[in-house]
Amino acid sequence: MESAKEFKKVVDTVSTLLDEICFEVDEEGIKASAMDPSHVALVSLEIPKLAFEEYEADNHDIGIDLEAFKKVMNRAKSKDKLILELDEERNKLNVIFENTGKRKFSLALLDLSASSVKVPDIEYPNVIMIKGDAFKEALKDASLFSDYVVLKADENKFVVHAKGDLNENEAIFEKDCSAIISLEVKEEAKSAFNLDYLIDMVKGVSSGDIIKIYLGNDMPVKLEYSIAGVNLTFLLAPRIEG
Amino acid sequence: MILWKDVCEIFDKIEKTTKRLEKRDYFIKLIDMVKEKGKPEDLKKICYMAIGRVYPEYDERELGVGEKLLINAITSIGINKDELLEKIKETGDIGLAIEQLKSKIKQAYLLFQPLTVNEVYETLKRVGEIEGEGSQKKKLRLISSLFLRASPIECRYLARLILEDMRIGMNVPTILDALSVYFNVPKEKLEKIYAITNDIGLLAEKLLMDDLESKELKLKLFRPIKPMLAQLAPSIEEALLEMGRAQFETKYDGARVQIHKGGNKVKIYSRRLEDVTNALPEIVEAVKKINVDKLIVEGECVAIDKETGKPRPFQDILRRFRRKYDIGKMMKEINLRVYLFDILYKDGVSFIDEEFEKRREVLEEIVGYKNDWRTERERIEKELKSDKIIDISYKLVTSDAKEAREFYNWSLSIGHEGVMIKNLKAPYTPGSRVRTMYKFKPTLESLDVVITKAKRGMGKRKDWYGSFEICVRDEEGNLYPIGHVGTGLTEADLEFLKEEIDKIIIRDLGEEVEVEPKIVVEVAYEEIQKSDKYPCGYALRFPRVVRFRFDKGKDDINTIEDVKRIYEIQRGRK
Repeated sequence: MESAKEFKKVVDTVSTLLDEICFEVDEEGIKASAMDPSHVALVSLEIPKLAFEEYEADNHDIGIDLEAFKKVMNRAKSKDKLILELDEERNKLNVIFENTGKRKFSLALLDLSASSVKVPDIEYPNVIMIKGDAFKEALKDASLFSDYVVLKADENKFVVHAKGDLNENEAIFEKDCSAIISLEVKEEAKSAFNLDYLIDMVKGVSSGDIIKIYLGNDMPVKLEYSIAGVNLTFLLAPRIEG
Repeated sequence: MILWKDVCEIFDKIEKTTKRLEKRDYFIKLIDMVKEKGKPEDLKKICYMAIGRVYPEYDERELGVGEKLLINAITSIGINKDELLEKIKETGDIGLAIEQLKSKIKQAYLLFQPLTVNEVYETLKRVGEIEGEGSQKKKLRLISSLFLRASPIECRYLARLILEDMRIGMNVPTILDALSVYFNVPKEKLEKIYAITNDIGLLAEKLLMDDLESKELKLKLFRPIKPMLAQLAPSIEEALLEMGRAQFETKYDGARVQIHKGGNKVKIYSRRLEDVTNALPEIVEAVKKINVDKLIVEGECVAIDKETGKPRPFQDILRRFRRKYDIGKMMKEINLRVYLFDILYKDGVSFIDEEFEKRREVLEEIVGYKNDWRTERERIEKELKSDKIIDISYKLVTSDAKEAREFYNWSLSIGHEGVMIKNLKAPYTPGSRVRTMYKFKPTLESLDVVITKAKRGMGKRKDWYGSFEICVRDEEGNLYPIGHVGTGLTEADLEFLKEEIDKIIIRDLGEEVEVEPKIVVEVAYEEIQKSDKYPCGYALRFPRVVRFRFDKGKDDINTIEDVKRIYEIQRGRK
């Protein structure tokens, strides 16, 4: 893979929500999905063959401790290339940074089975495409006063709203503002979500990235974006307002 | 699979009854539930949880989640903090507070799966093990993930388990009772195994596996066992009458230690089985030099004044035991010596069931001398001021009360507390107070003191005052606090005190109230200590109320002079 440093962002983001993960490897690429322990959030990632400069693989399930993986990825330097190599004999995943030389880390494989939980194929009424950093900042604003946030969409705008006991905050993205790439709204929608989880989900987003938000009424919100050719999908169950 | 919900429902029943037998019977239901639907290890976990633990009793580790982190976790799932704090104040219990507020949370799940005992247990264990960067956030996330999925009643016990205080009135003896009834094994047998293992979960698990002879239930290096305890003898004569011939030993004014040695590894445990190894490096080194590979011995650790050869005050030992930094400096300031008095294990052989006489013989062989007061008194006295770190207790084997009294007086004269009187034929009986071992020491008179402050109670005592500041007076009648007492009081006493104290409040200080000095109580105590905490310079150790002295007023209570006098007697300087 071209940039180890970019892939580090993926591992960083996923590891805030999960402790371990099972990568399902086949000829076409690598997939993984898992629910967090509270069953409120789901993380799914897909690394197509094309995300790699070279890709050679057959069917394997590779269980990894994300904490250890994260520590290793933190050692990646900016011009390092990343090589992932399965050592079946020793039951290890070799993580190799290639630059002026090769630095190899071997991670013990965990005995995990691939999760049966996948991102369900649900039709969403509304899809918002927004610049990643704009959404990320709006969430950070919201976290000043509240633990949860309301996402709202109508024909004209997308709104991130948070209300504390005393204070309130709102980020409004009009349809034609520069942060919004597209706003497709079939029905007005409004749902509340745990802010902590949302912030963790967009952790790896940097300024150029675009996030696709699928929003409905009292439906789990779905977020999609890509880093370094890796497609990340997150699902977060709403808080039903009484 | 055992669901956390099912266990909580039974916990709730246990909590609601005050009758021991009913608590036991509900616990039997839990055992049966595991037998029907779970694995033996589920029972282990339920046992720990029932007594508010995640780790076995001998294991000192704690979850380390404070109330603050717990509250943060609870608010992170959407419960309003002010409302929560208000409810905690109202109910006096964070568990009940969250139980009542939880139904307001409407968090949807992607997939709903009820919590299992195993999940709750393993998650909390993980919480206890997380350390390093970002650990607080991870702990918080794990804890809130449990609360998110828990029903209100599940929340109650989750919160309490996290704070390691279940408030269901379950304890080890009741669990032992339940196990005894369910598995039809005599309670005495279970008690004995328990005293050796200090692990109720392990015992229950093995019972369910029908493996009571398991090696894991035997004496094991580096798993401390509950010490054998002595009863107070009314007199030397009466103890001798009962035992015939007995071994008398100096009763040292120190702290009991249990020392485990395996090769070059040494661990030292306190009487309450806390690991105090790190605070006692010189003893560790001295033990390493003992020429036995595997060893468990018991002794009394004494702080020695090398000038006089007499023991230093008890709290000097505590200062050593509790020290976490600058240990080297402290080591120079306070010299320690351990007087070994029993041996439980040597090179793979357990001595628990051996007669005391035999155990003493093995101990004497290890150190190479007997410390027999009758024949070695001169050497013993000479060595009082020595640098010796490991010694064995001074002994006198006799059936003659007169000689025993002489030994007793001599023990007091060298600054110690009294004598131990041990049956030569008795096995080691861990964890129980038995008639094969007596202690005899001069009794300290009780003190009459007056109550000057009362602290509002917590938990079970939340409707009452929980502890009371007690004072003695000086010649002019000024009052001086000398301790706080909360034990020795029945519920009726507490109720009475609540009524009386509310009538004489001078000032409300929030957590406590200041009262007019009208209520006089007689207190007994373990000993009098020098203390910086109180202006009079003394404090009562472990005071307990013996009775109310309605016949006395604040001018009739004991004085500081009395306290000083008793202190001197106790120090053996008179």
